[in-house]
Formats: sequence, structure tokens, C-alpha cells
Amino acid sequence: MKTCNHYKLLIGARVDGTATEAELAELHGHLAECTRCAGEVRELERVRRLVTGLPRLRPSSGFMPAAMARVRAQRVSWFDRLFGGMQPAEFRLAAMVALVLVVCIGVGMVALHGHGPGVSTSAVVVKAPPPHMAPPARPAVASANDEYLRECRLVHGALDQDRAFWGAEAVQLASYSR
Amino acid sequence: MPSNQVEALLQRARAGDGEAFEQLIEPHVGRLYNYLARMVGDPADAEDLTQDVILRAHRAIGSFRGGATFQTWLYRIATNIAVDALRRRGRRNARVTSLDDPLQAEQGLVAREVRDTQRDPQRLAEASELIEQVQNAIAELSPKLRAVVVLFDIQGLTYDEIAQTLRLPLGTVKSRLFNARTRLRELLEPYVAGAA
Ligand SMILES: [Zn+2]
Repeated sequence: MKTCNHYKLLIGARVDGTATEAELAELHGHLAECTRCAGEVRELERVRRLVTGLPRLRPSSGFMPAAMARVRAQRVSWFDRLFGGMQPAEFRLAAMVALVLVVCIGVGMVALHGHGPGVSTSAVVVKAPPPHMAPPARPAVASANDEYLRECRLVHGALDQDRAFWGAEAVQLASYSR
Repeated sequence: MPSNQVEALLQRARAGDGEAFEQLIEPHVGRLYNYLARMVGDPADAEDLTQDVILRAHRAIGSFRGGATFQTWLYRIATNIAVDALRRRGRRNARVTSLDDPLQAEQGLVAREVRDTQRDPQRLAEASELIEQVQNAIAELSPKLRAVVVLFDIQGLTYDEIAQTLRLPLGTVKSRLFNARTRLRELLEPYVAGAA
């Protein structure tokens, strides 16, 4: 005898409208004899109708021309064109990879040429990223973030899930509230 | 828009052709606005954020390499911008009262209920209260649950598209959707309990 927990995935798939015929048949066998799961399905389907039924919202009529005017006024540098779509975490990863490469090349050069007068490790200059590439500074008031993160952790405790979804920045924020 | 036309426009936009970018983004703006409005619960904020998405996409179009669809890429930018905005404002997002003008409601179950009841002030008030309650309940969800339920139920994305947009495993998308619905069921208990 399977427990109700076994049917959670099937209930989810049915409410989402993605269950296969076989899954529906299996679920219906259980729903016929379990009023709790049957009630859950009805209520979750009602929730879904309430959400999908929300009216579509549209921006005001003047929005589109104004938005496009701002696009035309925006100057895009070659740097933005190449890297503008990257997230802060990706910037950090790219910066880390670049740093490791520079250090490896530097060490390689030193190993190849010895400590001759022309080559020294001080020749390896690692520039800090410009300010707009640096990770965001810790907010002055952490309490709002703390509350938000507490709420997130109540729903999904796993930090690596957080990392997968929000990237390193959120994990960094999460550490504030510890 | 046929995919070869999108590809041609993308190529021009990547090379810095602003007109091509406008043609590319224009069909998505309405949906992006709706997504952001439901995410942040404020129509004026949603216009500012939609503008931010458009400008950021314009700046970054050169780094868009396909892999994901253009729509998925835009939703990813929009999600990042919405989450940043929610982070900045903390819990102020409970303020969502004027989001839906029931007289301008256009489609959907709740909107239909509103249309059917426009001649009856009492029922009109009930229907617009329901819309408000549903939006308030969405605003109560953590941003990560909210993004999944809004993308699936309101924007009509598939599991796969959401997984790509949010860079999540498929199973996580499904479980977040289930958790979001379960939480909404609690929050909307008076409206769903004993549903037939
Ligand atoms: Zn059961």
C-alpha cells in the first residue's frame, strides 16, 4: 500500500496539466479511496484557476515610445556588448579564471627563465576589477535582507539550492544573518 | 515571428543595429511588463523595471549567443531585475492594492467574474477583492517560489523553459511549483477550502 506522500508528484503533475494518461490512471485509483488527497487536488486546482485567471496587465500607452527613445539614447560600449549580459557571479568566476591564468603564465615564465634580471614575479600585475564589476557592497541595513532570507530558508533550507538559484551573491547575503 | 527572421534581426542587433533590436524586443514588452507587475506587485515600479530590462538587454545583446531562446534570455534578465528590486525594497511589497483596475480587466477567470458582475456593485467589490487577495498571496511567496508560479501559471512557460530561465534542475522547478501552490492554498484558504 503506497502512502499519500507517494502521490505528491502525481498530484503536482495533474494540477499542472502535465500528467500522462498512465499517471492520471494511477492517481485516480488513489483519489477514489482517499478523500484527503482528493480534497487537496480540488483545492490546488482552484488555486491554479485563481492565479491563471488574473487579468493581463499592460503598460500605459506612452510607455513603449518613451522606452524606445531611451534605447536610442543609450550608448553601448564594446565592453557592455561583450559582457553586459553577465551576472555578478559570472564576472567573479571570469575574473578568477583570468587571475589563475595570469598567475600560471607568470609562474611558468619564472620557471622557464629562472630569476634573471629581465623577469621577476613582480612583472605579474593582476588588476582589480573596476568598481562596477566588483561584488556589491554589503548593504548598510541588513535587517530587510535578513528577514527575506529567513523566509527563504524556511521554505527551502538547503544552501546549495540557494546557490544554484541566486548565485554566490545571495549566499554571501545569507552569511550576514548568521 | 519566424525563427529565421529572429536570427537575422539578432545578427543585426548584435552588430549594433538599434532598429533591429527594437523589432526584436517589441513583441515581448507586454509580457515582460505583466511578469514584472505580478512579481513586484506595483504597476509604476513594473514600468521602471521593464525599462531596465529593455536597456540591459540592449547593452548585453552582443553577449546573447543563442542556446537559450531570446524569450528565455529576456525572462532571465527580468527575473534578476525583479529579485534585485524586491531585495532593495524588503517587505514593502505587501502594498499591492491598486494593481488591477477591474474595469479594465481583459481576460481570464477572475477577469470574467469581474465582467459578469459589473452591474452589481456588491459582486464587483467581491471580485476585485478576490483579485487583490490573489495578488497579495503571490506577494507573500518568497521570490524564488513566486518566480516559478508566475512564469508557469501567468506567463505560460513550460517546465523546461523555466528551468532554462532560472538555471534550475527540472525536478526543482516542479517541486517549487508544488510548494508555491501549497503555500497559496494556505494563504487563500477562505477562497479555496472545500472547492468543488
Ligand atoms: Zn491520499
